[in-house]
Amino acid sequence: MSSHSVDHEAPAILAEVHPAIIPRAELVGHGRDFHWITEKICGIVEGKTPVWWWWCFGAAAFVASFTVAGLIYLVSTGVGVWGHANPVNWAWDIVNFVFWIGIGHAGTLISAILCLLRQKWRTSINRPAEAMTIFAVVCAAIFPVFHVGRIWFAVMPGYLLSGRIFVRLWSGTCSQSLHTVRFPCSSGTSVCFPIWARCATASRRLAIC
Amino acid sequence: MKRKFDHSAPAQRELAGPKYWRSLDELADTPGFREHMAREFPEGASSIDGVDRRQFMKLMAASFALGGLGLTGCRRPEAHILPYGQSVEYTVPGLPLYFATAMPLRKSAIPLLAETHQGRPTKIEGNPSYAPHGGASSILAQASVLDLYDPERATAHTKGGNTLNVGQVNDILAGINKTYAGNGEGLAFLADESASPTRARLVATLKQKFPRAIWAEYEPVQDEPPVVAAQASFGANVKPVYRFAKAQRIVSIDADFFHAEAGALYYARDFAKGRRVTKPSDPMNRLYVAESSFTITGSMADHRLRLASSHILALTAALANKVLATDAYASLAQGLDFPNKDKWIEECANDLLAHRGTSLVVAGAHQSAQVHILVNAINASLGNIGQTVDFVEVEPSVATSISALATAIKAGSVKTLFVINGNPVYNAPVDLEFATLLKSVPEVIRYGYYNDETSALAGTHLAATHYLESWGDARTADGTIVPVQPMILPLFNGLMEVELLARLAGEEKPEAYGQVYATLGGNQKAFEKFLHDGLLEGSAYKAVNVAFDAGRSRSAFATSPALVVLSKDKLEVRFVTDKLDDGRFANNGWLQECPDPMTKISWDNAILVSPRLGKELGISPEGSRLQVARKEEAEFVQGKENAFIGEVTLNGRTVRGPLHIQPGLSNYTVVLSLGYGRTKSGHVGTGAGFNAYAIRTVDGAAYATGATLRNTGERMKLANTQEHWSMEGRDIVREANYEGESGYKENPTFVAGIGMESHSPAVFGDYTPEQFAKLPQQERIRLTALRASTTPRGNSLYETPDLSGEKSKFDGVHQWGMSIDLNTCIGCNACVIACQAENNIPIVGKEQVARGREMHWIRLDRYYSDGKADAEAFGAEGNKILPEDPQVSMQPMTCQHCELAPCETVCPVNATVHDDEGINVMAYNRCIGTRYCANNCPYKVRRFNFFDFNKRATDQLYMGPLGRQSDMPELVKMVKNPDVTVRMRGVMEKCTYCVQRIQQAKIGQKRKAGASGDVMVPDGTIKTACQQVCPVEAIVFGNIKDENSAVSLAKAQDRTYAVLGYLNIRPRTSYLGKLRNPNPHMPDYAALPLSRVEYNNKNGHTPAHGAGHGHEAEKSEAEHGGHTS
Repeated sequence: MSSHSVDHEAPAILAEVHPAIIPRAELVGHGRDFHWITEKICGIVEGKTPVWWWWCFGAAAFVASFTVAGLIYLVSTGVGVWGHANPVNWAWDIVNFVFWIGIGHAGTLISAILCLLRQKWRTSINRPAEAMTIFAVVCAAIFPVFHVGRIWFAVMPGYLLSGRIFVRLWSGTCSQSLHTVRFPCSSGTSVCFPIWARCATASRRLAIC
Repeated sequence: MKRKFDHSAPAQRELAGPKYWRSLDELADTPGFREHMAREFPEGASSIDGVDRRQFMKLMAASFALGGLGLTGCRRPEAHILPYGQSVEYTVPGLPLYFATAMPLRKSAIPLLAETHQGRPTKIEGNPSYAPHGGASSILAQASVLDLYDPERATAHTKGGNTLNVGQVNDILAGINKTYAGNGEGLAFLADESASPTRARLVATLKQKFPRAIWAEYEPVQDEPPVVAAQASFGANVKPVYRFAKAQRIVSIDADFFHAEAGALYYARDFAKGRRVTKPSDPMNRLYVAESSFTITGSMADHRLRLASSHILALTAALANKVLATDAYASLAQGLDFPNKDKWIEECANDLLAHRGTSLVVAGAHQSAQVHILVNAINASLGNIGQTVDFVEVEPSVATSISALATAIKAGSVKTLFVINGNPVYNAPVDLEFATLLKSVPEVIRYGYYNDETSALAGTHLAATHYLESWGDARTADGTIVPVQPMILPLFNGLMEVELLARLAGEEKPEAYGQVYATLGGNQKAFEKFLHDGLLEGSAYKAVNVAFDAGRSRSAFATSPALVVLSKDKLEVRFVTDKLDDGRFANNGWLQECPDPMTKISWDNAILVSPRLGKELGISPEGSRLQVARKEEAEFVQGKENAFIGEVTLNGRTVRGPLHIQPGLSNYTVVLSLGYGRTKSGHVGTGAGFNAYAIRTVDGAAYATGATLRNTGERMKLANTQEHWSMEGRDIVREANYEGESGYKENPTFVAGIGMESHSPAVFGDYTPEQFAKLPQQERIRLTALRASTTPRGNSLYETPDLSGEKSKFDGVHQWGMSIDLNTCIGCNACVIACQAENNIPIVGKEQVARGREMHWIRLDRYYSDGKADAEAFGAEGNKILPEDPQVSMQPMTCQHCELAPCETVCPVNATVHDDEGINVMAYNRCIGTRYCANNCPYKVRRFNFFDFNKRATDQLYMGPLGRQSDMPELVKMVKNPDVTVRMRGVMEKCTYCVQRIQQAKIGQKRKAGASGDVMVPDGTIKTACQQVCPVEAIVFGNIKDENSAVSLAKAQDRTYAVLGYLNIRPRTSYLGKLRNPNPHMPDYAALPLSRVEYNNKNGHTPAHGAGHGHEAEKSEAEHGGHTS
């Protein structure tokens, strides 16, 4: 600033323009090169899976298998196993749906707020948040499907989804379900785009394609 | 089939154009080519390599046979379909066929028409030819068809565990005939009561052949007044037949004449005739009831006195003193005490005296002869005999009592005992110790429908036939002879009762048909007419002139029981029957699951105690503090009644059962239902409830005093279907008094002034309910029909499909609607079971009922009101106290077929939609079971198949894939109505207005109409199952577009209202408001029905204000704004 005030008599047009050297934003810190990045990304899939991971996975799979067992029991026996009755015809099925949709909302909300407030550090938060949303929606999706009495009709293509004869879209069941499709769309996008770049790196290294 | 193709030679014209050919041969048109063209298959297709097909089959036959050994399982089961060589009379496949028959029960019978489909009876209707019933039938008749297909009935004759064939059975019977030929010494019979003329004839023959044989009859419950009473009163063998329709004032002395008396069906129907009002000028009867338990008769009472059964004699004596203006019976009345006693009796007597000849006093059949004699005296003095009560001559019974038989057995003089029907080991008076006695008899032969407690102690069991598989006859309560006609061959080679007796009597032609034919006179023409009509015209008992003989009756009062003052430590026990009768229907799932009309408990009986006794026993919980809902005093855990288990001890004998607090009982009377606690019945009956016979003695058959009750502190769950018994001041059932200020006569349109609609803008946009009620009747009918077919939007916030004209949603020829008269509904539950039988509704078992998953399409709501409910004040005193003496309002609730049905808009798959005739139909095939519709139904009348109720046994529902998959035996499937879909799990269902009957009538009418195009079904052709069975004709169904139909007229009455009408869902079922007819002079006179008092309390109406509704609607509009906000 000070040099400008001294050189005010200099011609307005410079003879030669030197573009300002703007330092490139350092996207990869600590001077690491592409090789390091590739190693880092591929190391996750190429390296040995730690034992603790298997333990955790086993425990999670065990808990998740309750769902499968429960659903088998539910479908083979009848929705009476939920424990509800007239006049309260919905119980944990719809409560669980709303619960998981709530979890999904939370993930979306976290990433949306961070995005709106332009927090540069948000990436580390909103990716797990969006992932949480996706998995919450998957969990939530189980319930509207499995709460019905005759699931084999509810999941039959052409009955609910593409048929025009039987479907009444303004029923809450349909409109609510369609409404919740938004979650996998938005969260899926924000989770999948970064993943694609990593997948590309890994696939080139592994010469998959 | 080989087809010949017509390859005609080309016409000349075609040859003129360019020519195409399929091959050179065609061009050449050789004979070989012509043959090739004519063949369907290429040459050699029917033979394989020169071996023709026939030869090939021969060669392969061995391989096929061998293959068959290993692979038979893969073959379809072989089935033979044989056509009728000759068509069965009147049979049109697919159409039901009706035959007249009758259901005998004790000394009466209900004339019936049985609906059969391809030879199997599926549904029972009342025989409309029998005028006293007018086509109505009872809950027991409706459910009886299920017993026919009970897989647990006795399916074989057995002796010592070995099966007997029919020949062996006949040999046994012939052997007895031979052994006891002569005087019959050592032979004894114990039978149930019967009104069969054929049986009476055969019994007379038996007595003649075996003069020293004992013929005893036993029925655990009495449903006809004791004959000794008539003997003592009139010196004649007569019994009363009441004419309720002629009675303006009725006093019931512990008589449950809607349920427990023989002829209850006729009485209910006749009572309704005097109860029904269609306009303010119609008369209405008044009913006084004094009773210890709370019966459905008591629920209809205008004045109800809670009085112990053992005090009834004193009350009757006091009433007789007043009516007869004497004090001859003053000693009998001593000790009688209840609040306002003198005034109650005096005003009741005054009312009777003011209606000489049009009043009627009825005593319960279980009451003592003394009570009946007093009642006869009262009726005689009032000039009612010959007017409201006829005495008809009956044959004196030739049977001895079970006590006499027991004495004979004890003396060892019985060598062979025949137990015909009944179940004495289970239900004989406990002090006879009948099981022990039976073991001491050398030979016991049991003839019974079930292998029950008695069969277990009998060496030989002969399987009886159901009345739907038997030839027989019976007499109705008024004596009309009716045929019992088989609908189907005995399913298990059962033996008919008539044939059994005929064989024992050594008749030459013992076949039941021939015996009945002979009894009826043996005239072919007359007999055919008898079978066709289902009754013998003019065979009713003859009414005789009787005069009360005071002198003669005096001897009956030589000894009279002292009045026992009751207290907590000296209780009275009253034995009553409910839907299981005396226990003979214990294995009937429909009846077991049907909630009792008063207690609403299904699958169990309970020790019913009054609220006061409950408090003294310390079993009354605190009541609900935090919710407005007033729950029954027994505690509810997750909606299940968690009852204490009590022990009733009477004369050293004890019975255990759940305690249930029942408002309206006499304070220190404990009510026990008989017929439960069977130890040897089927899956359904065994273990349901407790056996009250265990403390019942010869002397205390109906009631006994001196019992104690102890709370054991243990608990058990009861399946109670209605824990919430208060209307909370809401306008669900709208009531008014018949007379008096703000009564029906003053304000005929009182229903229009009650409820939210009376404040909201006109639902249909034209008139408010009050304005509508003031329109001329014809205009109301016209508007109802018009509204039904145009669905005007009115003032609805939402756009309703106003599709008048061609695009109308409701453009059918008919527009169906229903009207239910709450004023005549007695809450007998017959509609519930009739609907279950007609519509293939499954039972779900106690555990599921407790969860609220019962499937009944009709729910009979029972509300108590005491005028104290205060919905505004949480935990207020009025909300916590169980009423001791409530008024009862019954309301059958089923799908209302809303024109703007909330269930339809939420269904994602269009499974519930409207048809063009205004029926809210269910397409079961589309339903995926989201249950959204049930959640959105304001009446909560949709029922969901949570499990495969139709396939699995009730104890297998939770077994999942491990359970037996198809548990429904073929036999049980036979009861299903083939016109109605059997629903699978995951499907929603509800009342369809019996759409199958509607369709059948429409098809019939279309066929009849032919080219004339007159497809409108005449009014009265279609009766829904509930309407058809209703003894009081409370339900009217029909075409509301037809301005002359019965339903249009019913709906045009002043008292018409829609439940929850303010929701603007426009239900097609409407109700007629309930009326009460209290006597203003009585001490318990209530100027307003108590439910109305609660309504006024809740809504800030004063009685005068409520009354003013009709007259000053506009003026009060401003005030209304205040309290609706």
